[in-house]
Amino acid sequence: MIDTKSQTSCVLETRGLGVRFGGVVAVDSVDFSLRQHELRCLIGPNGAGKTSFFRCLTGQTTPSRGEVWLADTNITGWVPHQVARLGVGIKTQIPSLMNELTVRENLWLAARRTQPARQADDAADEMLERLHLAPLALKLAGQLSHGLRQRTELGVVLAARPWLLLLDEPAGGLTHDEVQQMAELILEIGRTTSIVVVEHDMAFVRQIAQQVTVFHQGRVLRQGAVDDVLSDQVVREVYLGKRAQ
Amino acid sequence: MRALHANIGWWFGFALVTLALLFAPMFWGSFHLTLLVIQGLLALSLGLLWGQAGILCFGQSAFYGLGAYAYAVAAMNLQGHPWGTLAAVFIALLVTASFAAALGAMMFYGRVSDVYLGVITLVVTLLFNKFMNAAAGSAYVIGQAHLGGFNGIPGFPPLALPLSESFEVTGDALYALCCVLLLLALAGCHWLGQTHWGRALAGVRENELRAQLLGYDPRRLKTGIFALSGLLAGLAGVLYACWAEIVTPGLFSLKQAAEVIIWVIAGGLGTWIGPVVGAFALGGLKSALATQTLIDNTVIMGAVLVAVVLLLPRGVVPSLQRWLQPLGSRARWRLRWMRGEVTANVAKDSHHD
Ligand SMILES: Nc1ncnc2c1ncn2[C@@H]1O[C@H](COP(=O)(O)OP(=O)(O)O)[C@@H](O)[C@H]1O
Ligand SMILES: [Mg+2]
Repeated sequence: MIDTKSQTSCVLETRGLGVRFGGVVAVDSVDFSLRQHELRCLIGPNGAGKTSFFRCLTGQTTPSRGEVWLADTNITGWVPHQVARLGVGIKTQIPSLMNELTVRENLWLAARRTQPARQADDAADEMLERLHLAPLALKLAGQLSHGLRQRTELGVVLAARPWLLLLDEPAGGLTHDEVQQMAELILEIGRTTSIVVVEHDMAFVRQIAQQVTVFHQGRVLRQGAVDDVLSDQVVREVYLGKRAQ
Repeated sequence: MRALHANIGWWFGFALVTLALLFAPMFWGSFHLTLLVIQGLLALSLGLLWGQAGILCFGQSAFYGLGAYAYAVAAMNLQGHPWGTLAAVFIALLVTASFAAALGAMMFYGRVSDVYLGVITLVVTLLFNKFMNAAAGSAYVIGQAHLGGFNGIPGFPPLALPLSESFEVTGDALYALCCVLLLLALAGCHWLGQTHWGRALAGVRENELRAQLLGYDPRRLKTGIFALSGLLAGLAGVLYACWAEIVTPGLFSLKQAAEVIIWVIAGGLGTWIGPVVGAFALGGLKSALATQTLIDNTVIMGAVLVAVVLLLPRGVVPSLQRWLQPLGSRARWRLRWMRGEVTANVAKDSHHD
């Protein structure tokens, strides 16, 4: 486990990170850094490379160039379970759950990896309550609706108690009320956890983040305070303009 | 998974198997029954690997045959020692488990895909078959044991306990031993499925990426279950060697490899009892058919398999369980509800699934 307390500066840093898929450059030389307990939003049009960037951070994709550092550890080329064991949790863009296991078993498996059996039982029950999933505890994860899958996956990721949380479109496909709950939850978690959130919903982004990074064509286009960035002319053109059409 | 967690159903099934094993010798000779029990153990070894970890291995008979041969060779060489045959059992189990662990590690750490995994395990079985068939003559001798080509190895000592007077475990005693080991293996599998390790394996089976992203290493988990499954199959092989008192290359045959898979499919994947029942029923049917000459028995076996696959695609035991489940789950919920573990609301909710 990485000692995050001694490190007040950077918990996550990428240096010249690049990913290619054949001829497609999905991520192009990205320098990114995140301070401890920071809540950062990553925005950008579809295909900007946000998911590919996340996949490099978790070891799902090996970067074609550049490095990924978690605090003092260079994790470039690590496989996913090694990265996860450092305390990194990711909610993937398409919710990824163990479908033939129950909701509670999903949560338990996550909790049990980092805690002894009894604590894992409690942690799973606690997470069921916290995310209002208790009535669904014994349902198979594969039988849930999309919104509930989103919520369950968030619970699974949180149950493992990560100190760095990567959320890929957590509000995607949620109803208005659910988005509200999600925003409140993320703000609450953000007090003790460093978080990067990929999101399209601008109201949601304004609600949760102070700092925003804009991806465009695999590069960081702008970075800064949420109001400055969202009112930036170039950002509006590549991103908001396109969405308005 | 749902099936594996149906605890009441499990104890019911376990009790039925126990009773069947107890009373069967009243109706049939224990010699034939012993073989069925050994095959039940072999089927369980595949049920463990396939059901819990989702790994379909075509080479279960490789471990079965290896266990049998390793026992024959070791027992031959330790002949005369009071502990000789017991030591041979442990050597045989060690050999099969190590071989399975090495093969598994090679495949899982080498990121061999599921399809190739099936092909590799099948090829390993066929290689054993070819090799043992060819291993005749004085070049193929391990200590005192001649591998003997297609004639196999006869005449090794059967399992004996070093009591005051050496006690040979044959006949009814061997039947009893096989039954005890099968029941222990069944209970062990059931227990394993509920441990952290067993659930982690189920997690990997259901969603390997999610398991990885939570910090579980699928390669290690799968290598572990592959070795354990190989060990169980090896144990079945050792018992087979003790029962048949001869080992031949036929143990590694394609037919044997296919039969195990058919038992598991027919009996039902995803339960522990299923594969065992499949092996009992189809093995029993096969020996019953062996005495008649009216219809070729492979035709009847084929027809039975097709009927099961078409009518009960989940296998016999899971289908039975499905019909009985409403009874079981209602009782279980009432129990939990009375203990105050769940609210009436939740209990009502879960009746639907
Ligand atoms: N596995 C892949 N193979 C080939 N191209 C990919 C793959 N994953 C992503 N891409 C491409 O990389 C680019 C970035 O995609 P992605 O990271 O999913 O963007 P975002 O998450 O910002 O929408 C897109 O052009 C996409 O088509
Ligand atoms: Mg994306």
